[in-house]
Amino acid sequence: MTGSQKSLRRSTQVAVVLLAVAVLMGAGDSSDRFDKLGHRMMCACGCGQILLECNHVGCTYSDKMRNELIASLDRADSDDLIMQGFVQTYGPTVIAAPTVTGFNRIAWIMPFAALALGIAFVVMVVRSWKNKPAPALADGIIIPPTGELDDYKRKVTRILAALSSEDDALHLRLPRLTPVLAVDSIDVDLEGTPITLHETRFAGDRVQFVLGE
Amino acid sequence: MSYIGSFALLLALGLSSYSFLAGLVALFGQDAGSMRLGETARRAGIAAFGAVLLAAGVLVTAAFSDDFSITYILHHSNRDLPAPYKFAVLWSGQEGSLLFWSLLLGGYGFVLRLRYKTDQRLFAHASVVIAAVQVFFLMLLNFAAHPFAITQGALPPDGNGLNPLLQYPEMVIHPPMLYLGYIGFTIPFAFALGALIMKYPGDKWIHITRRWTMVTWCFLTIGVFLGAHWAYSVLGWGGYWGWDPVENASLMPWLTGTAFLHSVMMQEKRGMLKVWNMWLIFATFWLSILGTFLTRSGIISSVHAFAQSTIGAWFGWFLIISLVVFTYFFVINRSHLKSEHRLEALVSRESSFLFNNLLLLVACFTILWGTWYPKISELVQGHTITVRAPYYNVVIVPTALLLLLLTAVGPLLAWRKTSIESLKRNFLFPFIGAMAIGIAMVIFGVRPWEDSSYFYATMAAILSALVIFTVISEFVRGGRVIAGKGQMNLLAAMLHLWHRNTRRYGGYVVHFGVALVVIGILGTPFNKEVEKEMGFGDKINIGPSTLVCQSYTQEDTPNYGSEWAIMNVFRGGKQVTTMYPERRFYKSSGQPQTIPRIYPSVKEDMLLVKDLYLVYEGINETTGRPIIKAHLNPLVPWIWTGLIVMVFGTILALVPNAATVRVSVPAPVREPAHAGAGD
Repeated sequence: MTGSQKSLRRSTQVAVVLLAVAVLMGAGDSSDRFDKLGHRMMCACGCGQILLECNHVGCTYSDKMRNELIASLDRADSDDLIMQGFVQTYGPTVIAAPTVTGFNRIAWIMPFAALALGIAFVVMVVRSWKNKPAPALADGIIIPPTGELDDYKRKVTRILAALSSEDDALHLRLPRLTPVLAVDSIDVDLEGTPITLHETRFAGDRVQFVLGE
Repeated sequence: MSYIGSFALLLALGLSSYSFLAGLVALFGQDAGSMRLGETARRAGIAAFGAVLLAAGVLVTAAFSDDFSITYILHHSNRDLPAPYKFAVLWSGQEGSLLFWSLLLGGYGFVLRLRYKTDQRLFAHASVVIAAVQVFFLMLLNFAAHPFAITQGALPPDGNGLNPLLQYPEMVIHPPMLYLGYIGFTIPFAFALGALIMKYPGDKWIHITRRWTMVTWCFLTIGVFLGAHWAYSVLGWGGYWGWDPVENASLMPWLTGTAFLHSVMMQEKRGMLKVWNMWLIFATFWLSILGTFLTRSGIISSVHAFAQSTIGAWFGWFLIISLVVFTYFFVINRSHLKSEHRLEALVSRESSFLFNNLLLLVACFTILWGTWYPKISELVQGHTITVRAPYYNVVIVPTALLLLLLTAVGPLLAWRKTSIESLKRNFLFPFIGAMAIGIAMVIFGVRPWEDSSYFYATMAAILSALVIFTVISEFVRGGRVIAGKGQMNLLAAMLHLWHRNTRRYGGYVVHFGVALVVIGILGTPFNKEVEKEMGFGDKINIGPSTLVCQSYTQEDTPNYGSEWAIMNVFRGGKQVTTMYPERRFYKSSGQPQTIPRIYPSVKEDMLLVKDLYLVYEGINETTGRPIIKAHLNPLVPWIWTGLIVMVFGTILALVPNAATVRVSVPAPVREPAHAGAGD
């Protein structure tokens, strides 16, 4: 395993741990339970708003529900008991998020499963693409994987007239079999290894090349 | 007047159908006759736009002339409605908004058909696809949701009026922007499908649609954010995003559209992801239609949804047919999309784009899943449940933070391969800056270990800072190189840098804007709110501000009656402003509406700006005293600033590159040329 792979793996592990900490970190027992619980419930009037955010003018439910919540907190009921009480009174839609019980677990699992599977898939794809051999050039030259290129130079450039192929005609918007200027070239790195192959076509009536002045 | 509108709609349907059918037939032939037929199809498409424009013009004129013989005008307008809102009547109801959709699609099609000489055959294919979509909307308008239906029986003296929630200046801009975004994605989709059908070589369809896509994305971005700003300024609950299904519907195509904007660069630069890009633009188009389906079918309950109607089934079928058609052409022509996927290094721009696409799609899937889960629950468990902010805050935030991390790191990665050393070198300054922000937050009292929301807020702040410092360092580093060579100052050099590659540096500015938006959002866990019955001289203390009730007053206008409070705001014993939270009662509709007032404390808090947000909630019937609710929302103005920066960045990216295109073709040489030669 190379150093970069190790550091990548270590970074991934750290990210996963941080993510898990973030996800598993729960809200502590605090004096703002009213605020927290009130934001976990919906107003039952049908306005579609969170209980403590309902500003529905003339709402007949929100004040009543808030008072019930205050009464439950005064009785020192647990969060679960309070939520269950509201579900019994107003139905399951009063909770603003799926519970983590029964079938509803799947609601919470799916996004993280999609993320995990997606990351695994992309890592697999990246690795398989990374391991692919370099494509062979027409004359059998294999371009090796390169690092950062310091510089390069021309090995050969051929300039000739040719008749446009179907592809050339399409891209240059010319009729087929129109004479075009063809420039074919190979560049090499400083050690002489071929790095690029260019096959360029110019519409002869639209370009002018000037060498020297 | 309604007859003219009805006739225009029928004419538009006829012309669009001809444009579709004749255009389709013409695509099969190569002879002169087919070309002439194709030309008539193109012209019919242009004429169809004229007919839809006429229909829309008739509806707007009917709104201005209070023609209540048209049911739509009766239900959505009234005599005293201010003129700008009469214009907005066009898109404020089901039938009108469908007509508006058709109008915008016709407008896009009009521009496309005028520019057909760019590539006649590809444009002809795209034109047929657009005509097919247009036929669907015009069939809806003519047979399912007719905007010119006649009012039965005696005409009432006045209309029902526009929904009070829509009587707000942004509502005149928000729907057109959102629709321009939704509908605009039809254009790149039409080109993609056209290119797929004709097995078009190369990536020309991407080059042609690049600007369309960026403009469309910009419109959708503006639409989404204006919707959030409208919710913040009008709904009066103190927030801007409620994860309502209709809000989600606008976010989903935005996410896939953003992924598409990034992944097309892989195809342009490296010839990779050809299949992926095809499906991504289809998904974006499909999700745009799905959003409309959600809004109009009533299948998922939402505070925004139009009344439940039968047109949901039309949209359902359209979604199925479009999926089948696209899948069919993909299956038979997929060999054409083969591309050579090869990566030279794991740490490269290519990898970052792959992960960027993954995270955007996971975010989209999460929202789609959450939006549909109530329906899934109903099918499986026999009862529906609610999926709102407490759910999304947990499931979407980790993905969003990873995406933000990638936004920071991505620009530092080179195509093909990036050495760890260069990454470390380029990352050092942004990393130190970001960590300094995190440490400063802890020093100033944020305790990320106490609550998950504080942890997320701290992480978001660090990563946003990382994005901002990365963008700055990219501009400065590139600018320094040019300044050194060109003997110009750094600012001029950075301007030159942008002008040489507008898309890249415009994109960085968009990233900068995204980071500002995130900074605005991360203030949410620190929001405060106080509710109190207030008599004259009563006080509310919230954060560093003290609110003193000066008095209450009333006003009567032809459109509505209103009552409001006059609240003086003090900071450190000094009065900084006076606010007027208001409650209106609209006469025509008989509906009440709260009008919150917002004061951003830019002068007092500078970068740590907070919105003081006041709502006049009404009068306590028991005590007879008015109730005022005050929210203190830190950093929210950064969201709207971020939007402006994002739009500015998109405009920068749309500017053509200024660099001269140099074509140097050297003469044949016997010996290898000096280093640096080559085409």
